[in-house]
Amino acid sequence: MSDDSTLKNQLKEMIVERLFLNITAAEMADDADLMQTYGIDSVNLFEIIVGLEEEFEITVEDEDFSVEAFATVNSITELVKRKRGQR
Amino acid sequence: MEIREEPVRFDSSGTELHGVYYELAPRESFEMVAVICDPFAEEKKCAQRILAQMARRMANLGVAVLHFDYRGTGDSGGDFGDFGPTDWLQDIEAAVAYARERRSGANIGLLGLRMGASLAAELAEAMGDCRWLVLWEPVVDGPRYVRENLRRSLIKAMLTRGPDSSAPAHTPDTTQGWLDLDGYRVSARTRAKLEAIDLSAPPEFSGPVLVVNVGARALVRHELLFLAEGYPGGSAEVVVMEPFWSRVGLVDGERLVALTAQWLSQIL
Repeated sequence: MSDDSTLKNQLKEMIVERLFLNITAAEMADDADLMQTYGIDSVNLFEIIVGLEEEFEITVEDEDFSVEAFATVNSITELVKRKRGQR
Repeated sequence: MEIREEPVRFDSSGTELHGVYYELAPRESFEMVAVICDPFAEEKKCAQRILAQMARRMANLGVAVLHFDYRGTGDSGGDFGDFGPTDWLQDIEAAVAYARERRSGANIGLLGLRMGASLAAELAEAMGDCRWLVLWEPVVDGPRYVRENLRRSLIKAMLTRGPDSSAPAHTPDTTQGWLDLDGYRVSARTRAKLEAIDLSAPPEFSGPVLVVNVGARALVRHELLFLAEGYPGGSAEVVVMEPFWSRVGLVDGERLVALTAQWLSQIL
């Protein structure tokens, strides 16, 4: 499994666990719109950001806050990689 | 026996506070009153139902309960922006005094959630005769708590603007010393008081203390474990459930209420 896939799976596990979603991480599509598909709102988004900082050891700055950055698992993966200095 | 729920009013520094007094009818001989200490702002609204559920459960145990609104919140007098944690600490003291008026010689216990738990912990040390303390998800680190509330405001602003805007979300308005803290207008003084919350020092309260971690994982977070271990009579428990104080929708609080009631029944 590639590093990318591993990271995406870890992100999905974190999102499903922290948001108490009634799906498994494996059922979450990489490119599904989190807000449209899973009803994620501002409260949930806050939980995701806290999860990113606590479990993925990155710091999410004010300038990182954009709808696009948190739209899908793919886009969050890119954010984490960028914050970690990966490409 | 039935639980009687009586609307009550009492004074705190010249402002009338509103509350609900719960007790079994006919009155039990057991002389214990619990005062519930609410969380801050939006969290209070979301937590109301489960705190009322807890109040009824404690009443069923024979503990009278006073659940009240701080100044500037709920049905109590005053405007929210005029008050802060120092005032609300005084309000809890006023609630304790009122509880003692209702039941002369009653023992007092405090149950708080989030900021209310932090205030309860502070007051329990100052009171000297508080019998027990229940801290649901206390705010341990004030600066982090304020940062988190600022972030909630940023996230709401981001979602309101939608995906088409290229401008970054703006930091909430801090003009003229006022701050938008998750939709609530907060003075610089209140912000400073919230940021001053610090439960990292060894506590001086020696009675039984229950610290409850509510979250996604069945493992007590380090800071809450550390806090509980700092109390001579402290214990820490975890309840896997959604953080109901930040959820607008219905959250089942039964496990938290049952765990707390069980702990109380062991120490009463």
